[in-house]
Amino acid sequence: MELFDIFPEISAYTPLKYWKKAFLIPLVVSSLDHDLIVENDVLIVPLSGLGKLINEILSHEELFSLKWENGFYY
Amino acid sequence: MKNNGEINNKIIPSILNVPLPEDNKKEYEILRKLVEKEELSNEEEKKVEDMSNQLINKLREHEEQKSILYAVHLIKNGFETRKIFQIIGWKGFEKVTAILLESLDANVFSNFRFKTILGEKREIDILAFRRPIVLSIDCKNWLRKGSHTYGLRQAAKQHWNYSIFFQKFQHIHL
Repeated sequence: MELFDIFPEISAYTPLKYWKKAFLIPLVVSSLDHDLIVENDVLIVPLSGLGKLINEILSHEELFSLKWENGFYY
Repeated sequence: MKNNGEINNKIIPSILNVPLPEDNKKEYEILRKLVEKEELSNEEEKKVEDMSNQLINKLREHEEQKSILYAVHLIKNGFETRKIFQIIGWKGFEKVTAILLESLDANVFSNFRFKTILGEKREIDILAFRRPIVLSIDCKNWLRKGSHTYGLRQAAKQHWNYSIFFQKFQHIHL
């Protein structure tokens, strides 16, 4: 399977800066008990808070409102 | 037994479908009834702790896949995660994380290996795809007590670098 099977609107020729920065979210999932930490644009989240965090991210539709047009996100 | 079941029920609904291992049902019910009581005597508290430990220790008896599902069930039901993570180890922790992500309708790929432009090998523990986001995840099963923030922050810095390499990795074969 290729990444582009999952995201068909993204082609291998799409300049990465137009989509990956918008959607790639680096996370460290930790076994420890702590609050959400943000370090260098990476979110550090305890496993118990992972689902809540994902739902929170997905609930902010404005973050993902870029329009796909002519091979680019705008 | 720490009660975080309510939170988990909301955020990982499909975990509710993970069947409880048949051989532990009786002990589990006794424990549940005890925990539901408003006040526990010292003797009952001790019993809860002992039974919790016994159920967690059963993780050691199962073969790997069953053990991971059992661990997920214990976590969902609010058992003390520190002890569970200690038994299942870092590899088990990664698998539990992957199962939780799958329960959130993500496409999950574990131990994603790739090479940088300079030919250096890199690995990301978990890549999880749930449109429109891609999660690049580094799992840290750390058991030590005390200050852990510094270590996690250092891990985050390294993971940022790995994720940047991943961004630049054009043709991705999963």
